[in-house]
Amino acid sequence: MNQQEGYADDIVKGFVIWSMVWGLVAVLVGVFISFQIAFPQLNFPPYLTYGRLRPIHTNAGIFGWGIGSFMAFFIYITQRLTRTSLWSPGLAKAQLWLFNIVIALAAVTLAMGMNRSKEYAELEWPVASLVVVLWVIFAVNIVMTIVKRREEQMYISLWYILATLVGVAVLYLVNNAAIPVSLTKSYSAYAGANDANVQWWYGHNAVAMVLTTPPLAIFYYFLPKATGVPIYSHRMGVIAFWSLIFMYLWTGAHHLLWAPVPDWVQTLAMGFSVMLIAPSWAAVFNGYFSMNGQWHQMRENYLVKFLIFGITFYGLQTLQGPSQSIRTFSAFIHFTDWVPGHVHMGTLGWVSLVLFAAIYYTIPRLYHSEIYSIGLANVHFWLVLTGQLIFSITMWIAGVQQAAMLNATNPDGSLHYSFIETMVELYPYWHMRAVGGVIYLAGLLVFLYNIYQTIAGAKTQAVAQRA
Amino acid sequence: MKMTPAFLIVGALLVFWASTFIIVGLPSLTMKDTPSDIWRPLSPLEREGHRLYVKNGCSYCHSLFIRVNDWDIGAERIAKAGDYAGIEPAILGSERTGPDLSQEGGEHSDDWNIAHFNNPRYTTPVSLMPAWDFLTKHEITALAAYVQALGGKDADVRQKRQREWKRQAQAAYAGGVDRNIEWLHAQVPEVWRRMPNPYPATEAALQRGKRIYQQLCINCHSPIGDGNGPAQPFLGPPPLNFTILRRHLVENRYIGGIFYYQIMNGITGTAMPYFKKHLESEKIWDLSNYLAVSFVGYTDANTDPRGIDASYEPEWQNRYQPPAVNQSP
Repeated sequence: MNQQEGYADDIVKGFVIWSMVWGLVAVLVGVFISFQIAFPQLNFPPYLTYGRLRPIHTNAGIFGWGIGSFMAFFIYITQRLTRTSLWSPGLAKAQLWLFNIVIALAAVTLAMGMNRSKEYAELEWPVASLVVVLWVIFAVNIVMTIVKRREEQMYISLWYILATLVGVAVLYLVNNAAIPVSLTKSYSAYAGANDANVQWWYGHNAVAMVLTTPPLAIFYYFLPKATGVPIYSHRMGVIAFWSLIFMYLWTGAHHLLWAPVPDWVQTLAMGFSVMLIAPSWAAVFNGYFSMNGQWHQMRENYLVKFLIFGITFYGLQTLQGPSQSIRTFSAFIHFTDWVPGHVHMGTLGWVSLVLFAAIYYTIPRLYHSEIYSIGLANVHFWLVLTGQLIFSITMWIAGVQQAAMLNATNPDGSLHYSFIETMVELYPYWHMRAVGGVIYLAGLLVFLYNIYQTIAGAKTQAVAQRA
Repeated sequence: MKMTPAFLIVGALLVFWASTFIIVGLPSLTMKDTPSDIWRPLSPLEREGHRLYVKNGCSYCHSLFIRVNDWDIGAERIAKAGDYAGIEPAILGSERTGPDLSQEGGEHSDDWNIAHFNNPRYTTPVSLMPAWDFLTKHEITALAAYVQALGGKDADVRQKRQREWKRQAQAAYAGGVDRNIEWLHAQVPEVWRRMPNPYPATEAALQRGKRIYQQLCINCHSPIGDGNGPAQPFLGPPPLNFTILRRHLVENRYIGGIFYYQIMNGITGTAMPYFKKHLESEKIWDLSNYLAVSFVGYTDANTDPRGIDASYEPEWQNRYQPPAVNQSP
């Protein structure tokens, strides 16, 4: 408990630390499965095969590292923006326990093969039900804190926080609707091509409500905090917010272009995907314009470096994404390794860079100390940036080559390459991706060491003062 | 615009539900879950295989739908919504690290599939797919049954062909090594049986053939061509021992055309797949020369009847002699 202001900050510490643990798990598993693709002998059945580990990687990354740290910062930010202590610290404590239980259960059940195979909605109904409980506890606590706020004006971050709470609930409940048949198995409420449409509506909007709106909330809060100057435009924030909220949930079917779902659904999804460039870039420009006269801070302030690179990758991501949702380009690039390259620019570049900045900002304040080493933070920055760029660029090149080879025809119109010939050519890229992953992992370890030393240093300092 | 919690929550809910109703609700109400022309229900065993497919995350690498712009195996037919009637979950897949499987049923024989699941590198030496030999024998059978059902009634047609020829191939194999080869030769159309390889067996050609052999053939037919590769224990009839062909040259001379035809079309019913969609003409002839020279010790390349040599071909003399007569029993 932060005694001075009465904020429930111990719970923030708990969520930050546990999200870092799950983040490490996600990256470790990610690096391991990247080696499995390059060297299939590294599959150790049954629990350590690629098919079982990949959902553990995505779930640990999105829900463990992502949601875990979002919970931390939603609690941290909401208290400060409302000048109100958390509605119920006890409930938040229960939430932290439940969160860790859910993520651990997710890892164990997926390793056991309890998998619905719906991307990012893999968890079987007992675990999925716990997720719902978790989310209700979290949402009630945050909403109640906002309701009894002592600051009338609601800052941009709070809008995104509320939208996230509502959006995730809608998505999760609709897509996870299922009829349990046993403790380990359920049947989806949807079947056939309709099931696929519901799934990708969810799948893409998990990106919206987990990997876009929460990091935006965090970005809008920590950029002014880090630079010391206010955000450029509140009005632009309003327009960007509502247009993003309005447009996002239409776009899921761009994962199903040329698939057997109705054409009008695909076209609508494609149109809204392209329209999304506007609200996305409004946020990017709001970030950039906030730096007017402050660009020198890119040299002097490592937090700004993380945040501005983060929002830059968000901008690139939201140009690349819409272009991929155009039918013709999708026809070329879908199914290839280009797509993992795209995804990891968003997760490693945008989401994680913003989270790193938020953690660097908050941990010293929560523990009343200074960051252990700014030098190491810079090493961390360059390592994760290099690792991520190697990963993404390698996969883009691989994807273009793969797509070109799969589409290459002889003059008579017959296919020039067999599938296996196109696949064999990807091995060098897969080796390179694994190298990128290892560099990223090294950067993450530097980060964790820096945070560990900051906390340890704060504790010895506190002991020394008491003595 | 003044933002209040009620305004934000109600506003977001309205926008979310409105868009969800249109993009998810309307398709749910209007899409008909009526079976397509090739749809058929899955048998209990196939359904069990489908569960294993879902449970083990196969869909992270394999897609289950063919788009209009897909040209690969099975692209004879574009996916229709009715192909997925009643299937739960209808995971269409988002990656093709492995090939699309929506028309995989009957592409290969059952024993090929069993060998492939035990270790994908047995049948496809360069594959990156994990081995599934940790599954029980029954589970592998179920998984194979599911894959063989992909493609519905179209797959059934192919499966019927596989099973019919499997019966004949097994009967021929039971008749003994030499009877088996006579049967195999008899399945090649007359004109191909007396066709020599029109490509010279130059060093470069043999190297190209060797590369193909190592990428596609080696784990069934083995590095020495005796048919005892690691896949062999799973396959019936087993892969051909090429060395025996030395006593089965047609008129003690021809073998190139037979190699070509069998590689091109495969031997449906056995685990020997077709390669007409994988290899173009020159590659198959190079592979034929490699098999002939390496495992039979003789090639009919550039022997008569022959036409005018292609302009790029080097001056190449075939120094291989057919085996002495009366060698074969």
